[in-house]
Amino acid sequence: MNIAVLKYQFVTDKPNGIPDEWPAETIYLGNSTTLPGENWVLMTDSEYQTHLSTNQSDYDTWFNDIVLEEQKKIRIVEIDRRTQEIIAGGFEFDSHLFSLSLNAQINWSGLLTLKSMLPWPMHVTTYDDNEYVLQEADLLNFISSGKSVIMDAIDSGRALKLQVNQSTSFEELDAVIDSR
Amino acid sequence: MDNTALPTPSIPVHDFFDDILWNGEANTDSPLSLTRTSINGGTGALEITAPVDNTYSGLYALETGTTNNATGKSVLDSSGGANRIKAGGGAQTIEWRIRITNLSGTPQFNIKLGLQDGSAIGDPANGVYFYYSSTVNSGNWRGVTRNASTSTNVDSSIAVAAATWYKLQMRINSDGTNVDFYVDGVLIGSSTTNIPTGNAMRLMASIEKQGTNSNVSRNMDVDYVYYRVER
Repeated sequence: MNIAVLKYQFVTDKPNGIPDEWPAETIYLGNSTTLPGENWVLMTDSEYQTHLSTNQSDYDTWFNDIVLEEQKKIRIVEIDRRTQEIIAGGFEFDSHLFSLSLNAQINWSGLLTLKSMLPWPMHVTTYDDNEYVLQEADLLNFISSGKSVIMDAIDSGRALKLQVNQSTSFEELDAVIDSR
Repeated sequence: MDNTALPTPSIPVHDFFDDILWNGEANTDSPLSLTRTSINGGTGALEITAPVDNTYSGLYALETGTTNNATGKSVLDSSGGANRIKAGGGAQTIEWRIRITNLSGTPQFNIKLGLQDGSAIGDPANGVYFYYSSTVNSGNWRGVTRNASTSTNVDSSIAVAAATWYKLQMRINSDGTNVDFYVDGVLIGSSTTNIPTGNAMRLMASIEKQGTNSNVSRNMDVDYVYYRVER
């Protein structure tokens, strides 16, 4: 079995840093010895396997250093996106759902800051745009419920991102699953 | 004692179909956990209202974006960015229905549809996918199997036309030794080499600029993705 091999040294549009000797493309020729174009080299199956073995270590080093790091970045973006999604889902208090949008967070914080100046009970808006009457005595628990959702999402996201950053192989990276 | 023979169990078939009828971009709305990722200014938009001509129900428009660069990329990714699918894990069929809005002029771009193990700029290290670029194979559809960054290309003579829907299907046999590529039901060729049986991948559609900088966006509409595995 003859194989036409095009090495990365002859490819212009290629991954950054990939070893020149690593094969970019192969065509199995059977018994033919006709190469498809310039820069291709002819190898027997046995020569090709030897070529791979000789260069496997360089390829693995490149792959782990470059590609694994890129994968980690993608996974971290996904984890952050899920964290934001959880927070955007709001928080529950007294069997009602309330928003945790940035504006809502500012409003809830304002209740606490201006507590002594506000007329109680306060009429606040639920996630589905209905009215809820918040008693002054419930304010701390109300704020605490919202804060818990945010902190749990951020803490669990941080733990997952830590696992991602500590991964030293694709197997380890794949084992990090965001099931939140 | 009942000695009646039990029927021979059929091969279990698992079908997944995502018509992209999501309520927003949250992956919990997608049967295949599809999500869209922007890289270097790539964008995208959901269209979940069927058009007047009823050529689709919902779709995702992937766009390379208007940032003046040569790397804008938009990806319809799956599995939360984790690689879960290997060739050789049972017979698998994957089909995408897509159209490319515009093929001409700057910027050059490429699209990939199928299984890929990464969404970074450039080609994945491992993948089984359809490929289009105006500068490759005369702008005709190409099937690719790619293992450890080494490719086998299956070139077709089917030219890609603008604003035309295509059904792109690939069938991986049960032990991962053969991949058949079909365009609109026509077999364009098969690959038996560089099939990544040892490396996991995930469903992915992508469009990305290539070549010189441009602030002109290029689009690909994804109507659906279908995935079947037989074990």
